[in-house]
Amino acid sequence: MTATSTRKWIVAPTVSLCLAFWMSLAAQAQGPIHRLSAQFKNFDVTETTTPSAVPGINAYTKTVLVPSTDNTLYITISAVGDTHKGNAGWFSCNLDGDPTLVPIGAYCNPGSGGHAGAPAGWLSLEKHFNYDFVTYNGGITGGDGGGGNGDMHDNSIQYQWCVSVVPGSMHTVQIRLASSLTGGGAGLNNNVFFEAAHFYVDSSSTRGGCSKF
Amino acid sequence: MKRVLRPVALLLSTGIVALPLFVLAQQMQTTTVFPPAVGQASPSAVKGACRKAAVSFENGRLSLQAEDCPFDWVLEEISKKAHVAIMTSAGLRSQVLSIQFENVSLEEGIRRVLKDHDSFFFLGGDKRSLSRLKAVWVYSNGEGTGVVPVPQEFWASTKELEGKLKDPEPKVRASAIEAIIDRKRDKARAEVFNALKDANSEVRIRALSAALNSGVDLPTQSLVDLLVHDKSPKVRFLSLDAMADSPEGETMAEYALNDPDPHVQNAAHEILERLGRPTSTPGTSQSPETNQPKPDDRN
Repeated sequence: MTATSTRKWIVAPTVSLCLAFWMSLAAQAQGPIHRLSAQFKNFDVTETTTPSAVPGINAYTKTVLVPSTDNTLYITISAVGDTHKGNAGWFSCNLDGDPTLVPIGAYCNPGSGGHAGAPAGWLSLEKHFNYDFVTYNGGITGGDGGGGNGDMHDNSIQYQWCVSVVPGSMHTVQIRLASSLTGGGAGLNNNVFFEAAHFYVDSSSTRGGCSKF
Repeated sequence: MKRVLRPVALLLSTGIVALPLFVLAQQMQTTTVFPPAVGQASPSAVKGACRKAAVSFENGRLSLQAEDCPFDWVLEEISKKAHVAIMTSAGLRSQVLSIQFENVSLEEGIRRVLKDHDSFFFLGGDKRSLSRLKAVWVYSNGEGTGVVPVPQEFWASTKELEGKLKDPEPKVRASAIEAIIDRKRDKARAEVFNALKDANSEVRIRALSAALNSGVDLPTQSLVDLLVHDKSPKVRFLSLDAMADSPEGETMAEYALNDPDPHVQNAAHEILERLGRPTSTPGTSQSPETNQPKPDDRN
């Protein structure tokens, strides 16, 4: 791009103006994804586990400063896990605490999934039926661990939430783990587990933020 | 440069190759301004190529009579007489134009000249009067679709950016220090230190964030000072986070447990937990039920 104007009247500020150039609209509309945090835990023959009902335990927490350009956060868990006695492993993501525990807390998505029976804001990411070995008489019983027939090691856990945030804001991201307690009731082995987990917190500038389809 | 290349890389990754190359090509071309209108020919010689040629601009009204005139010469005459910068892409200069009108507004006249082209008009305001046409970018028909202005930090010289560090507008100072850090990296330490003393917290936050993300080597003592003294919890968080893996991380995390901001406190808890020192904070603490060793009989 060249300027047809002459040197006579163009002063310094205008020179800057003349040097301005333009870029693709597509490039500007979609901001890059910023990886704010990448961490792992339980890669040392340990597990994160709980037999507790919702709101369960705080399985992961990370405080981040959202870049001033970004309006959307992405929270990812990538792990393996198992459950005992047919309990479901329920997971929730929140910003600044579980809303039932902390007034300022909010679920990343307060909605519900299908028929897993998890409360609003929670998702069932792992579950194996604790099959009745009487019905399946003659088959293998006891899973491959000590947690009953539904105790199967291990299965992949992969989920990513998106949540709209104020650009430049600071948040403590939290992923909680709870047991569905549907594996036989109180007093029984209701543990749910995950291990070898990676956690990622990302952000981007997204038109409309994290919005309903 | 990284900030220019970042969107370019994004486009390349999605397979859109032409546009970023176009942008870069533009950038290269914009470094050479004010060329002769057509090749090396003098204006009089070019004018001589016209069968008719007359351009006048009086009292804000434009009159033009051109017959078989080089397109670029017409624009240059308008540019000189109306004091409006007009940028054209190289491919347009060889075109020939025949047009005639009298006593129309500058904008209207230029629009008539550019009726077969895409164009962008820049109207600059000065707070005292109506905004005035200051520049026009001209593209061939269809070429202008899908391009938008690029912020100054993408193309301004480093010296210009350094001048912006004293701009009265905090957002301008913040953008300037980010761009300078992006270009100078660790050599921007002096500018970073000055920006970290800025009265506006947004400037300090963005300067510290950019410095930490660009590998600017900030002394631990500077980070400690920020954690202890800065009024912005975001600055304190960034400084604490930057020290997390340093020998001072544990001590500073212990100090930050008493920070007035809950997010800074949370960050301190996270650092200490990672160091094997579980702490307890309502709603965010690790439960003692987590991180259990696997028993021999497997769970």
